[in-house]
Amino acid sequence: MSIPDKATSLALLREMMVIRDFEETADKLSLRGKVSGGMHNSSGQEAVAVGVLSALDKFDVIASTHRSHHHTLAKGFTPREIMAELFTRATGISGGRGASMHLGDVERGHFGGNGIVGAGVGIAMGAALGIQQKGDKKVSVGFVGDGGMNTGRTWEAINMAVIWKLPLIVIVDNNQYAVETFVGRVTGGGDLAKRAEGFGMKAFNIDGMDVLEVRKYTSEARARALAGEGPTFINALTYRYYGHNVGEKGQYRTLEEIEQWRTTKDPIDRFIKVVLDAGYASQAEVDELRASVRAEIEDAVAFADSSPEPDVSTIYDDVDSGMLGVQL
Amino acid sequence: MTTTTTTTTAKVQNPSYSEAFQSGVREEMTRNPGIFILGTDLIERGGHFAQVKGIAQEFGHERVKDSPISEAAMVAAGVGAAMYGCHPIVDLNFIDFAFGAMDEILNQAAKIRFMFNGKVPLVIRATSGVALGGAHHCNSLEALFASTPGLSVAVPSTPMDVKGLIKTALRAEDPVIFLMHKKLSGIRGEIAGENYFVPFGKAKSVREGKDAAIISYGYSIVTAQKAAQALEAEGISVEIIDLRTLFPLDEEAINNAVKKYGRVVVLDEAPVFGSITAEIAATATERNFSSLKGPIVRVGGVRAPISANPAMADAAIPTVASIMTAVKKVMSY
Amino acid sequence: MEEIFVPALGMAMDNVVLLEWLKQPGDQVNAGDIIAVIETDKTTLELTSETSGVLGKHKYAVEDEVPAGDTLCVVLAPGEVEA
Repeated sequence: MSIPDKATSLALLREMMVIRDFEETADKLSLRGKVSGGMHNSSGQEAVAVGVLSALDKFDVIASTHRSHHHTLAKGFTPREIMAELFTRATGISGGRGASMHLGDVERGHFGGNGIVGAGVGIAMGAALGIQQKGDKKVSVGFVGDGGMNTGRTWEAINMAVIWKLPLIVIVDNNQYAVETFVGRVTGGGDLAKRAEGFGMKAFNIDGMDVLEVRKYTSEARARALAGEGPTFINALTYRYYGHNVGEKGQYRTLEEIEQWRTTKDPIDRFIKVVLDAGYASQAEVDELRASVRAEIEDAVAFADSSPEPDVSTIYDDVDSGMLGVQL
Repeated sequence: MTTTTTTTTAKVQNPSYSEAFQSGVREEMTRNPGIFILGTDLIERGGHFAQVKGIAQEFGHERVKDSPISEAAMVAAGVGAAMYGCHPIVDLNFIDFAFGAMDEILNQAAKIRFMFNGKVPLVIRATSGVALGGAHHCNSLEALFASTPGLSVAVPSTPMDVKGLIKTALRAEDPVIFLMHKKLSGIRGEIAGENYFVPFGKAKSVREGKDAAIISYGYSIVTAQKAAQALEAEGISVEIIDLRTLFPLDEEAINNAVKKYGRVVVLDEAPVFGSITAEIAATATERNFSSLKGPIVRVGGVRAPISANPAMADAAIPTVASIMTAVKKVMSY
Repeated sequence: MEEIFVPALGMAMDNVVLLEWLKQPGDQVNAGDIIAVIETDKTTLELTSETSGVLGKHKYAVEDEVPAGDTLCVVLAPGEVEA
């Protein structure tokens, strides 16, 4: 696979490092009670987020899942505003109303993380319909986990995208476990891309631990969507290193399995090797990059910690527009 | 036997309830290219109540999108497109079909503005109310929607209000549940021109009275008027207030009725337990207890699914007789 | 220095109860040793040290309610002293 230029490659690497550091830092803070309602750690899944988002335009739309920090960071939101949201502070991207599970800003093309499995694909499909109705040259990406592969509405949305040739890319951020349920145990037919093909969708099973592979397939899907060729389904096989939620100590998979994925398939380690082999950076420069990421995340924590709480009296703001009672 | 459908071109009568909806939608679609309709069976029959008949032919299939029977995806399509900047009308035909999209309505559409710095200008239109058709097509879900923060609910009872309310809904930034009663589909009446808008949260007095008030909405307004006429013959003069929207709810009109008469009946078809009538009675009692001459009486549906048998279906909802009994009860205080 | 603390878990856990201390101040601690046992609204949890060292002061007593996120004690590395 061809390697992007030096600046792009280092940006991909740095973004994956940002996600990993952000998640591991936030996880610890969550255990200390800093994150209201807890959080879902995406460590291990960096290549899916960075591969997809780096292949999109900043004006493309995404809708995400309950595990959305990595998508949101890769979309270009800063660690500061996301950490502040996790701390439910006024400076967070949802003003403290969403926390970990409900990160979003419609005006910036992020149609929301989602507490409900499968909901994001439907909303992304709707955004794709909006793009088509307006004749815009954009795409919409709906992230869904493997758990969302067995909820009916995901396939309702996929069918609709196919029949209307919507500019939608469905990304299965397939970390293989829906909480404690292994995808292979609950997925009839087994092959997710084949399932999507059955709906008439262009579909691929890919290596979700390889940022360049994810980027390539997303880029091609985007080009097809912009050419009016309709939606694409990408099942990106990946792995989450931590529990479903912070503090989970599950017995549903072995420590050996986790260790094996971490040591042989880690998306950051693999891509560091690519960068080193290409001569884009020395080991010392990679270490410097990591140190700069560390500083950025520490700064994000300090920012979040020192940010004001939202004013409770704003609780009624933006429940609705208040317009409907007004004589036009 | 065979039947033949004929099309009349000459309009000798006032428009029907469904035609009033068409009229409002047509005007707004002409004005705003971002409005489109999405639903099932909208092209040829124009929806199961002919509510959008002719619009696909006039505006094209891109603006009246023929959908598969996928309620969750239909509403999700509307939500996402609304967030993107369109103003979709998702037509569910029957409100009972909303059960297949309840997360999209209650958990997604209703909450996006609050959390995600975005707007959801979306109309979900459906026919509701108790009629023939049995348990699966006769649910009264309005209290569920009206009690969900972020949603507004319109329940017009006349062609005039249908048009005025849908036009307002299509100028708003919020998700609106637009409920049209089955038994009103064919009623006829005047409609206003393109600059007439009915604001949400403004009830309308549809009958003057001297002794008591009936507060209601939808098809129950028709039943209430029959009861009021019969009561008039017995010397009891009843005002009828048509709420027109359930959220926003016109609390001022309700309070004024309580203060004016002290004798109030609240009426609808939904099972009374946890209903809009419960909400109105509780709120009015809290706010204006001292104005009441006695308890507010609620008249509503029984706690049973709606039967297909016509007599059993009638027995499940208020009748002229049960409304008269309720009014006489408040008059006895 | 490693802090042994009550982890904040779940959506509705306010306080937990300290059930038992398995190490006393000044005790030698090895990585993997259970330091304390707490009871949450769902389960009992054993809190384990990840490092070796000497146990510092107990900041709570058995049967105390402890807010989620609070530190119960520290494990001091060689040369470290407790603040």
